[in-house]
Amino acid sequence: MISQVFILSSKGDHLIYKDFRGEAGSDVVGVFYEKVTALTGDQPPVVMSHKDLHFVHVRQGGLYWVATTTADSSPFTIIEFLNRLTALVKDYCGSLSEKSVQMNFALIYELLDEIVDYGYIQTTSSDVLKNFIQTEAVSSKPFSLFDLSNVGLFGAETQQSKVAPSSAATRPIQSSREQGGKSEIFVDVIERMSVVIGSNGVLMKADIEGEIKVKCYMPSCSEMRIGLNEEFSIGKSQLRGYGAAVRVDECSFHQAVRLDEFDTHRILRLCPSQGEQTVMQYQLSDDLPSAPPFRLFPTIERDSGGRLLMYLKLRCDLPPKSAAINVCATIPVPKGSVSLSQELSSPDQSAELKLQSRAVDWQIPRFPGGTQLSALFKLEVPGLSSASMLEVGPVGLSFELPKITVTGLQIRFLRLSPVQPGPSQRWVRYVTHSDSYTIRI
Amino acid sequence: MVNCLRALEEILKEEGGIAINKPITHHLLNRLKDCDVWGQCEVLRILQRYQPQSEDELFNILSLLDASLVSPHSPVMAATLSLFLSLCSSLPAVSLAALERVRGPLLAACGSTSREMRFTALCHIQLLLRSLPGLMGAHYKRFFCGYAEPAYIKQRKMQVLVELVNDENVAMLLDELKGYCTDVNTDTAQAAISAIGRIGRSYSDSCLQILTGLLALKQDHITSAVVQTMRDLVWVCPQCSDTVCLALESCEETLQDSQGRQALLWLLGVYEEETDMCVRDQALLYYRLLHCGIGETRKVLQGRRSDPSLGVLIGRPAEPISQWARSFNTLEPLRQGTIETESASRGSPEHVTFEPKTNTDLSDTLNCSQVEKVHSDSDSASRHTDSCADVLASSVAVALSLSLSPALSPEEFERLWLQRQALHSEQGAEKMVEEEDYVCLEAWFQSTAIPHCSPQSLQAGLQLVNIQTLAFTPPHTLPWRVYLYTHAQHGHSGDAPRSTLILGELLHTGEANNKAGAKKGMCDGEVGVEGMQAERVREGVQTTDDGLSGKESVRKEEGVKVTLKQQPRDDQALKGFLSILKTVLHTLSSERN
Repeated sequence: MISQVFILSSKGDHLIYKDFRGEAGSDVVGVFYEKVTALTGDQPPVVMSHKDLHFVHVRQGGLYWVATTTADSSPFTIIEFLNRLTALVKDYCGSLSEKSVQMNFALIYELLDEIVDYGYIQTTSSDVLKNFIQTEAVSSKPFSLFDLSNVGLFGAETQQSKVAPSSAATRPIQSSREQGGKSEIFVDVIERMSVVIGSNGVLMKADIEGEIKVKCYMPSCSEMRIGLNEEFSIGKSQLRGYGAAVRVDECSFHQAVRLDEFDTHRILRLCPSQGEQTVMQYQLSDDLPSAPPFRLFPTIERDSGGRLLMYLKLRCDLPPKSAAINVCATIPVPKGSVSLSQELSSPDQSAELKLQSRAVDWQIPRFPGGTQLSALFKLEVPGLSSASMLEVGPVGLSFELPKITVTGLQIRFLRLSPVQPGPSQRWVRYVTHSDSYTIRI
Repeated sequence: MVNCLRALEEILKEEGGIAINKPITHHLLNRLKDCDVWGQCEVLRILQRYQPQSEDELFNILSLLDASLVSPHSPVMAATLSLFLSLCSSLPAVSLAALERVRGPLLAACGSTSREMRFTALCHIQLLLRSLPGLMGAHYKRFFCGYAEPAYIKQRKMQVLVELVNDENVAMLLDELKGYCTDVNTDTAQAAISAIGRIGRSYSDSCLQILTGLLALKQDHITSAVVQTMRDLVWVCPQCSDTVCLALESCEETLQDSQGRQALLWLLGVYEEETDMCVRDQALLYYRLLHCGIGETRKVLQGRRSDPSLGVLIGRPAEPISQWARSFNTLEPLRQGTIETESASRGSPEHVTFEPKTNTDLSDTLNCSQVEKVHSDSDSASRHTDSCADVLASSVAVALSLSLSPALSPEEFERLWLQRQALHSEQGAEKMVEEEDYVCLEAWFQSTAIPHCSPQSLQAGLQLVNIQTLAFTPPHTLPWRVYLYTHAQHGHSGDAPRSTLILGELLHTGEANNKAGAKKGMCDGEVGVEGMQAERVREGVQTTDDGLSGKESVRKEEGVKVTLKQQPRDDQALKGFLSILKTVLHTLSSERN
């Protein structure tokens, strides 16, 4: 049961405030902000209490999404609700930011009215909601050169038109109805890796959390069939077939997915509702089908001048045609490091000593598979002792692998039936993110 | 349908909500699939009020619920488990099986994209681990911290990791934790260090190696955390003291904060003093101590003086599920975190200044040549001696049940024990403060065989009757001690059953008592010379104690002294407990003979 819902900006501005049960005044908003900003590092912030009122909040898009409730309510429910609320606001407003929430406050109040009644969650399904929500979203899309580049030169059919712009999936779901916008459907396969590689180069831990998300901009609901790799298998016990089988440990589906063709043909059937939904979630531990994407070969020593020398070679083990983008290696360095000099193997890389986080950030915008980059860092650390070497590492890597799934999961086909009248576009996107990619030194 | 339920709930709030009977239950269960996630949670929550009439019906309901137990939606999963646990409260085996079933969905929630959801799942996993410590053993890698995770999640994960340690994964785990010790976030670093210390209770060598290595970094927050961790470790594993003392050389310059200093002083005070009693060293120690202020010195010299040869039994007993089932799927587990951490990882008895027993009451009662002595603060001592003698003499069996839950951690035990002791000694002097709720009883048990029993047989014997042993000295050492506790509950006729907590100590001193007394006296003497007023009082008291122990030593060598502390007071329960304890000890000693 939810007593109030409010949204605060990171600076504490009240963006949205809605009281459902009239159990507490609006002054609790201020109380919440005071509490959340006064927390020390080792206090978990998610649940806080003030008298007999409990605040549960999530942080998304730089905003605080807060619900007040009683002690006996389920944290799973409240947090899931808040996450769902953020997802809905994102669907309806296009993106999540202070600006978009401010501009669409009327729409968000309207949403809240429909979602919750007297503190009870009524529905969060966009199929139901679309019948009630009338307010148009105000889109805050900034003018972007990228959109222009998408226009085919002299109307020529270029490669560009086969690729959707990155902003395509961040628009409000409603605009399609009135403006006759494109009826599009996006199917995203998103995997998150968390990996620990030991100092000897041995893979200590590898976890993949994956999900298939469908974002649907089609006004009318039709059945969609998603075909996965035929050799897709679930569970450790199943025998592997010949060739490159795709295996996951555990797998769960959205309740709207019908699985009658899954066992025989690995086909998911569903009627997507407007907006974004997670159709399938899966998870794989320890047994990666391919080598981990990055290996690091570090040499760390002290030179005669008392400086710390770090010679790092980073190798990308992806297939040669693909590449990692936005790679950033974070190398913790000893406390008291004052300055950094660097030699990087190519000009597009950059490195910086972050005193606040006591680390060197090494940025690589694009890193093709099968190549190797190197960097030499010289750190000025007054009073460097041999023990300080302990403070170097473990190295954390963050990156994005577009068009790659580590598990090898692919979407064979995507069919809509009955065939849509008018133009409809179907997009399939793959991406792997680093959740936490740690290499010990 | 769900909205009708909600409306009825609101209307009937005063009467405790809708009455749930069998037809309603089965109707709701069968329609469960038609509701959305939120509706399902609501229905499952309301169903908790229903009590199935037969076992068959119960199992029917459970099989209907089985699918939602592994639901990919964590709110549904949690609500179902909650309902399972409340339905199966009398069937622990079924509840445990249910916990096994939710492992997958809970782990999945731990890997959720939403941090808040991860945190929630972690907190609930901690609950589950209290009853089923082996539940996540194979999945310990899932609790490794991601480098970008916020500190509060990292800390929870470390708490879970500490619980999951075993022979196979200890090397991996320590390697991982070692990486966190130099984290840029000091809270994370300190939490990692104290986590290593906790693991050190079972795997001391490798942990001490890591901790010693960290001292070389010479960073104040790390050194402080390491020293505090070492202190806590030495407290439970005295065999590490040599390594620790060696490691502590020259780290006092690095220490900046008072907590770290206090810990260092305590370690120096207790161990250096005992190892080299050279006068010069001691003078140096006192110099160093006084350098840090009188208050600190007092804390060290009066600080934890309990028996360092005491080993805490590692491995908490698995708690029954009912202990936490009520708080499952509420906000409770997410909130209590900080307090729990405090007592689990940081909490060490040094906060309690604990003075040696004053035993003034002892001399009073000794004249009466009575074996049982009761110190009670609410009534006059004599009346209580009588009543207690009565109580003990008439071994009328009361309907008394002992239970191990809620489990008491060694730290908590020590806190209560010492707190009682401090209170007690204060009141012994003043006899003014009244406290209704607390009673302390000493009794003798005549047997020489008990101290020679193996710890295992003693523990097993006591656990049979639901008495938990927390710590004991190895057999054949003197003084020999055992600390134990239990919760007693018995129904007075007509009354609601009342539960009381009983803490107990078995002590077999032999001759060592004299020496210990003398040594304490000596130490106090020295402190007195340093010019501390507070000490003088104690010195006086101590001498009477010395005299006493002389007189009593003959008897003490023969028997085991039982000291029981109870809160809240309940004479009948205490009496019942004592007779149970005696029976067990008798059985054990006769076995031995």
